[in-house]
Amino acid sequence: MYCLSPGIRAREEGFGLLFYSSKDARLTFVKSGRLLRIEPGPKGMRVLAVSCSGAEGRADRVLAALSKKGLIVELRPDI
Amino acid sequence: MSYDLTYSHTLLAPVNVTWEITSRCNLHCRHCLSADLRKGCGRELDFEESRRFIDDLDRMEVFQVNFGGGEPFMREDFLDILDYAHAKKITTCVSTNGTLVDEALAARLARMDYLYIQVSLDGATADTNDIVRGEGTFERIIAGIEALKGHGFPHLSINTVVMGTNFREIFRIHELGTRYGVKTRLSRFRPSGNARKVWEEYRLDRGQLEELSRFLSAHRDVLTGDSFFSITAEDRSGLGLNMCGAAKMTCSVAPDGTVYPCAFLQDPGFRAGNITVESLGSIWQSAEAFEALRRVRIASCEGCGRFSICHGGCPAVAYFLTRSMKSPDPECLAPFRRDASASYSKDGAQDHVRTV
Repeated sequence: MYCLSPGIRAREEGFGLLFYSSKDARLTFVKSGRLLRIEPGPKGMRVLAVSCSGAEGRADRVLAALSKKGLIVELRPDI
Repeated sequence: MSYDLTYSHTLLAPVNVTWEITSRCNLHCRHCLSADLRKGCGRELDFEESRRFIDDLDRMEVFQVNFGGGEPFMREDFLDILDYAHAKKITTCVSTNGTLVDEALAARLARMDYLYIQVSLDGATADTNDIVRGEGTFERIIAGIEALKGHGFPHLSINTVVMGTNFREIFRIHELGTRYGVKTRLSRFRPSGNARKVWEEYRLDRGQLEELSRFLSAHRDVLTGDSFFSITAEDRSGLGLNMCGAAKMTCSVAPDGTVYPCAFLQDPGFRAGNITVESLGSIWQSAEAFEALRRVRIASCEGCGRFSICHGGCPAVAYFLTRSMKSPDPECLAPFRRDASASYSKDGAQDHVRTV
């Protein structure tokens, strides 16, 4: 499971997800359609959830790309 | 992943909102975008209305609020408004003239997370700056910058509106920013508000616009934030917006709560609603003034090789100079470059405005 990185905000949009970095005001548009949702997670965090069953492979690729950009981080099991 | 998505999709909410939180100001700058627009508009949202509006912005998941005015620090409750926005994790950026920033205020601001400040400075020398911003302001602005730096405020920039008056000092302004360890932001001079009165006197001519474009290419650390895309060179195309965000990514709220697409488009015809009457979300989704702007397509630009980096440029400049939203940005360099034989004069630029 992934949550938003510190200093990152995101919201759902018609085309997918829109990320905002409070560190540099940079926007990232992710054309993911309804593949991913943003939901409340533990300890007030916001987590990304896969909303289309059968599309886990594509979702994993998008999540990996977002993680590489530093927009999301994997939640450790102890959190 | 592209801003172009905002052409094909109306966002559910603005990414950021410019909020002119007061019309009061302790200066009377000759080029002020707001001053002339604020005549007869004495009302401003009180603290409770401001809190409710921030609650609304939070519900809409607006990421950033850019506070301007007037001079925001003229409001006695402004720091409380900032604290309230920050508690919602909304990033704020305050445009200030810097003259009210003393040691105590700088110390308080330095303790705020999520806060960016841009201090307006319109020259590298008192002679140049004070012509526009008023006698004695240069020293007071520098004192404000030094107070913020002295207290370790991290997110500070100097903002300069590039005009004929200070064009020859841009390099020195950049040096001054470097000396203070702050970013330099160059903003575009636009014929809105008081600036209409001094437009012909202060605006850049073609040669200066070309030179500015080259300066920006050579100084990639210089921020441009808003609407210089009409002169953006290819090598800066990834550094900022490539299109006007008005009604697509951003909008502007006047001190009395009136909503416009942009702080530079505050003519009655662009009035979209008022947040004391209707939620910003509703205005954003359904205001005809916004829909009209979203529908604008500048057909004559679409075949241009620069279209992907400017999308026709700044509609506010086009509107105030040509009274048409469908005109290309009159300060776009592309037609000037095509017309290499044209003289680089202000009169020449006017010819271009009429022919498009």
